[in-house]
Amino acid sequence: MAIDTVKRKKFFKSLFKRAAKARRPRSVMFELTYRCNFKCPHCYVEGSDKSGKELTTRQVFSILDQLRDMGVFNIAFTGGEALLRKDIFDVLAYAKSQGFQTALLSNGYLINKDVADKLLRVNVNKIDITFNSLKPEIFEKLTGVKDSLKKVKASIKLLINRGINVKIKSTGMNLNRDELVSIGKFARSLNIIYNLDTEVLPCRNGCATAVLDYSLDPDEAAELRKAVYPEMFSGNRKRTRSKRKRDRMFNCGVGKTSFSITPYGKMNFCLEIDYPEYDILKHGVKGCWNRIKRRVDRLNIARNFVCESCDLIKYCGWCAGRSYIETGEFNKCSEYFKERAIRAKKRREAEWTRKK
Amino acid sequence: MDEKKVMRKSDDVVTREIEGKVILMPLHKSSKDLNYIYTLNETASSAWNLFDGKSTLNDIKNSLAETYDVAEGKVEKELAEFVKDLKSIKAVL
Repeated sequence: MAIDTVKRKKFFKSLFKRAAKARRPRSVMFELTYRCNFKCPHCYVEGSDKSGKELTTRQVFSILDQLRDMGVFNIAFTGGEALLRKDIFDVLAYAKSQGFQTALLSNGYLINKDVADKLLRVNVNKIDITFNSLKPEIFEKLTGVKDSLKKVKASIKLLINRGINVKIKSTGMNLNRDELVSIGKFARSLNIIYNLDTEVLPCRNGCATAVLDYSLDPDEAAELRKAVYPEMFSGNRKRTRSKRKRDRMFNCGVGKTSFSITPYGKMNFCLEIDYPEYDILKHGVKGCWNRIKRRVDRLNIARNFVCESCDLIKYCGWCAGRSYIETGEFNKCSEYFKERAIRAKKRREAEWTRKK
Repeated sequence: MDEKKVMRKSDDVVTREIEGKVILMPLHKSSKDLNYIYTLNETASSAWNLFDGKSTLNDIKNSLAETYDVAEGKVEKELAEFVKDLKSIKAVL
């Protein structure tokens, strides 16, 4: 008769392994609204149809009940800016009361003392704040809001002072390339986690203007990752190879452990694409999940899978969803990823030559 | 162990069963505690289900001894330890 105290990470690792085998969803990204107080030029949500009717509080609660009954454990609430929803604290409190691990993804701008106190009361497990620059003028260019850096920095401190787990995250772009190491140091000085993503996502409607305008060169992105996370690249670190498989299209949690929900109650593969948009209000969460699994199964057994005989596969981060946005088809090579894979291969070969 | 004592589950703890594991999710934890998950083994989850706010610890002990066909003395010792653990994470009142 014992209570085992298990480290959260260890527990999740084993939980997700078992869930993936059994294809039971464990992790959900829940977009509560597309409304946002920032106007980030690189926002991937641009292009989504925003004319729908947001889920009511009652509908959100009903979806949470269904997710609980299916054994979902992690829910990340996002947007738009989720804090713009008037019922956000009711939603967070309800999710917690149903035994979910909750995360809130926010731009931080709306967090004042009162909001920080409420977030503490609803005991959210983690808050991710988007933080793309330490320079006020760049920050404002990337948010479209005056004095936003000062406000967001203050928000982060309010959360930290209350003992709330905070993570800051940046998208590496040509506008902030010189600051990413400093942002990493800023996070370390606050003793919080920093997450750098060196990919600018295309908009969901396929528009890649932001990718073209703001993306870093792949080699530069690789160097920046090393500079931001030196401990990950030091010593005899075993090089991580791409885990992509040749026998199936999806190598992520899609159709296995995860999905996303839109503010209008549609279920999608993930946050990056508006697909397949199964209607939860009509079919229920379980009905939509079963449909997603069948859809993924059909895609996974596609004939002439584009990566099947490609010799770049071990260097490639190709994603079927990204290909869908870029080309309108899942089973198609993406120029974006191909170029990155070619560069990665060259870097690896140069590294080997240096070692020899 | 006060055998006449009636204990109930705290409203601040949610029980979930995921992938065959019974998990206790305290609603109010410090950020340090958020790094840990509390899981119950089979006998512990049976015992946990008996904390209904009506049964005494003696009732719980007898029920477990009967279910698992174990000497009452052994169950009493383990139950006392379990109650201590539950109290430490504020799972019972």
